[in-house]
Amino acid sequence: MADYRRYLDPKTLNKVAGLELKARLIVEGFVSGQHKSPYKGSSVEFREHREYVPGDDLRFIDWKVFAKSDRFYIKEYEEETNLKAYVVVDTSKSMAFASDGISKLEYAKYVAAALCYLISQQQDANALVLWDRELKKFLPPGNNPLHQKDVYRSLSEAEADGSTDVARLFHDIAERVRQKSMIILLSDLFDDDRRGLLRGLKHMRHKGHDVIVFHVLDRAEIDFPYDRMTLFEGLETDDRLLADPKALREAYLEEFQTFAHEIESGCLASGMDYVRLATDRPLDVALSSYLAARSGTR
Amino acid sequence: MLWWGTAAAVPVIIHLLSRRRFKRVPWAAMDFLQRAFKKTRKRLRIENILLMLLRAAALVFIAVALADPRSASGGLFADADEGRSVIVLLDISFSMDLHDGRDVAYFQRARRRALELVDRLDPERDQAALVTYGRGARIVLPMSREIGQLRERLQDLEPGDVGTDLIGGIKIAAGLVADAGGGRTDVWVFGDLQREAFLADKAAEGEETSPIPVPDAAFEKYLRAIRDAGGRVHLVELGDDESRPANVGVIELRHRGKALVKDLPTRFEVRLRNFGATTAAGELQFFIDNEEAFAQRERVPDLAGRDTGSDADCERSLIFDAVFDRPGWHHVAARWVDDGLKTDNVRRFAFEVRDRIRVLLVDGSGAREIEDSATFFLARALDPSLGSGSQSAFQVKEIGSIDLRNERLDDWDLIALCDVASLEAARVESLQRWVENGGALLYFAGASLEAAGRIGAGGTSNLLFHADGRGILPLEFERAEGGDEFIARPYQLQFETFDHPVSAYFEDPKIRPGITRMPTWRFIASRPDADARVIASFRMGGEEPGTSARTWPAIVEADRGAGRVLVVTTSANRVWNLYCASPAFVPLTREMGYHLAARVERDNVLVGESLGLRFPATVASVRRIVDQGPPISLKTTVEEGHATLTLPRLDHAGLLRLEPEGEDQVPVRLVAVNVDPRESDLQRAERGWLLANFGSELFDLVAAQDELLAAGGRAAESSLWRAFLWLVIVVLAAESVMALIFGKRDRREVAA
Repeated sequence: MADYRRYLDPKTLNKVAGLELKARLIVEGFVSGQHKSPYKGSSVEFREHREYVPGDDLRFIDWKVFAKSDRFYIKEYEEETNLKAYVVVDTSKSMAFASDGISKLEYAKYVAAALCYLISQQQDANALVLWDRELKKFLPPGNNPLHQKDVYRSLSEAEADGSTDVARLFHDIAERVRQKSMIILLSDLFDDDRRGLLRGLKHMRHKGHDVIVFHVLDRAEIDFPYDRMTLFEGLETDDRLLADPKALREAYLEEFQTFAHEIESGCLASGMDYVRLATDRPLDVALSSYLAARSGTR
Repeated sequence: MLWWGTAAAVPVIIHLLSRRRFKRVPWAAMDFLQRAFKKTRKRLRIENILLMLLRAAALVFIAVALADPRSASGGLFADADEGRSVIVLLDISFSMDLHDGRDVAYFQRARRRALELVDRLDPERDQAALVTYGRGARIVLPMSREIGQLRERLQDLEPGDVGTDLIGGIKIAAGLVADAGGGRTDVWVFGDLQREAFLADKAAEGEETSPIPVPDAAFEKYLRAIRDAGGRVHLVELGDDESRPANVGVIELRHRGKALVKDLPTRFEVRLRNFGATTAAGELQFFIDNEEAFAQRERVPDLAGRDTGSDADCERSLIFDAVFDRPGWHHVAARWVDDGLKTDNVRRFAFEVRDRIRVLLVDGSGAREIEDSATFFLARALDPSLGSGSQSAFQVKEIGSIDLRNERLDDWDLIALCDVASLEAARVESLQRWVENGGALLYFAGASLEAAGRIGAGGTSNLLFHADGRGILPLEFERAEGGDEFIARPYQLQFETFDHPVSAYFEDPKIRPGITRMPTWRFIASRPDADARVIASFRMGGEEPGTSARTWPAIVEADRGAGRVLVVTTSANRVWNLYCASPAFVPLTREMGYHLAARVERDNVLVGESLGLRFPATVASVRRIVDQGPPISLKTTVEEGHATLTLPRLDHAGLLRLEPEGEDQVPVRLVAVNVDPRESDLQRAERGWLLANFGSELFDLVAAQDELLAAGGRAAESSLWRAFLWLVIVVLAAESVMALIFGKRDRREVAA
């Protein structure tokens, strides 16, 4: 039996072609490490049989009962899901940063694909939103295979471009999504307007959505490990800075940690889940966080 | 050395270069980075500037320490020592007058450097002495604190015509160092460091010159003495060989012809030597009596140098003919035109031209018949007409040996003793002194020596004339050889060499038999002294020349003081041989006469030498005139029937004119004083050669000006290099601590 858990390593997964396969491998790897299968969750629990009436989905006919009784009975499950999860992926240029092979965007894609796969396997609807400075792609909630293919294709084709304007996006999503939903945000949240960003998040929360913020960061952005004279060239702007990193490290880390703390505390204060993802970490952290949040939703 | 201070720019350059070498990183979190940069910019700049200044300061201090700075006032870093003693040795030999390509003499360079050294002395604390080391090194100013006076003396000095006497100078310095007593004494030698000056003086040691130069052990001895007395010798280099212009010197001018007699053609030889490394060319002018206008000149196109030819190729001999139509003192001069060292371009030669060569022939045979006298044929060979309207160069007088006591020897240029076996001992002594003072003696053997007890061991004639090697004759008569029975089969003369004025005439094989085939049947077998030269020998007749198993000396020559003696071991008449019957007898005797009478070089001396000249006893004083200078009256001393003028230490080259005062009959004498040709060799003692032969622990070689000033400054100033070295250490330590603090903060931040 294949050890799927190794596919939780982003570097290993990077060698696998096809995002759908990657998503499956991530989920399988994640599942094989769990003690309890997520498929035994409440959304798919059997409740009773009822007699078939025209129009029922043939997939739910209990063929074993038909064999015994020569009658068609439909298996009914307890509470069919109505969860809609919006997976929102930041495709701004800053997400293209990769210090060690896998960019933040690639990592976010893996996570997004795996979440969509998991969500669909749980019979929930998932929607995909790609954005940078403005909305680039919006796939409304769906749960059929065609939708899933669209999701994977859209994710595969997504490229980093443009600058980040998270605040405006959050307000836009908050207004666009009427029904209470789960909004899963994958972004580095590098937005100059930090107050606006937090206001946008609060706006979504205010609309009753469950929000999970996956703060995707590169390890180099967290540790700032440079020591030689370096010319830093802005990914989203034309700014360039030639500096001795050793001399700047103290101040940079202070700035960065302040930023991360602000985001985290802002999210928690608004009742949002905040998960920091470093691109060198295994991908199951995101799935665990999602499931924890999902169970809270039920 | 201070140009090392530009090393202070190194940290700045490294900083700038480091800013040109960086890696590029596309960066997402630019906002944080820029804010961090704005926040730390000022602090970083201050830290960087501080570190850079510390590093630059360290390099500057290293440079300053290397430059060995001085503090005239002492101050904080002053050595707590007393003042120093300095001895300045200045070469005033004529080679120091060599002018380089910019027409600056080496002496000027040396004096300038010496003055710069003296200027750094502190009259309050330091003392100094000045010594010159031309030949006859001397203390110009003894050790004192009169620095200003030393400076004035230095400025007054000029190079002379003398040669170098480095050993003498360093010997004096060793004495001064020993006398200085305690404290350090620096001996500064300012000279052209000629290799010749460091070599042992072979001539002084009585050795023949060797092709292998031998360093003078005395130099090392005095260096050690100076070191042991707490001194240190610094040899200052004034320039390298490459910058030294070529130097051609006239190293010899001498008489090469027959005797200097009125109307007798004669010749002079001039020897040139190129002491430079490259081939030289020029013109040699020859002057007779008048140095305003040359009498002859000769172009010398290719005179090889040290690097372009063999040692022999570096020399050239030129012959100039001359005839003097009046007797008296004359001089000739040779001048090379022209090079960087003028002093050795001229050489002079003074000599007396005789009206005739005065020859006194002394007959000891006692023959009754004039034709049988021992001097008969010799007199007629020298002066065929015996004075009656004679044009011969020889003026002859014949006397018996008994009459020699009546003759005044100084009246004669040449005395011939023929068959003289006995003389008064006192007369022999005076004869010997006369020869040693420049007289010429010709001795012919004869039958009188055969008398019993005269020759052989303890023979009276041997005791009288040879005196076991201390006498006038350079050989000891052993026995009479041959006899009448050899008339039929006689001995024959053979020349041992033709490279001699007497035998050169007979090198022509057509002329030679006139002597060599003439029979000799009797002679005196003799044993010449070690310093005697055998010019011709007797061999048994019938044998081919050069093949005889046995030969006996026939013509023997030796120097005796300033004079010369020539001995012929057979008779001058026909008693023992038949030479007188041969026409060749005439040239043989005349060549002997010319040769013996030609020794007049005694009146020409080298600069630095002293001279004693004999005048008639009536000359009480002599007026000395040098070139165009004012005359100086000098007293003579009278002893043994003649007056002697002593000229102590002649320091200048030129022509001395000596006029006896109040004596119109005594002719004016000329003396040529020439520079020592050894001084013309400007080849410098190489650093490696000096170190190899004398040891680096005994002296320093100071080449550059700043080295001189830096080292010389020790005499009066305090060395600060240690202080600057400490500053370097402190600054580097501070830099390290600060870098550590800044680095630690960085690391702490990373950990956080």
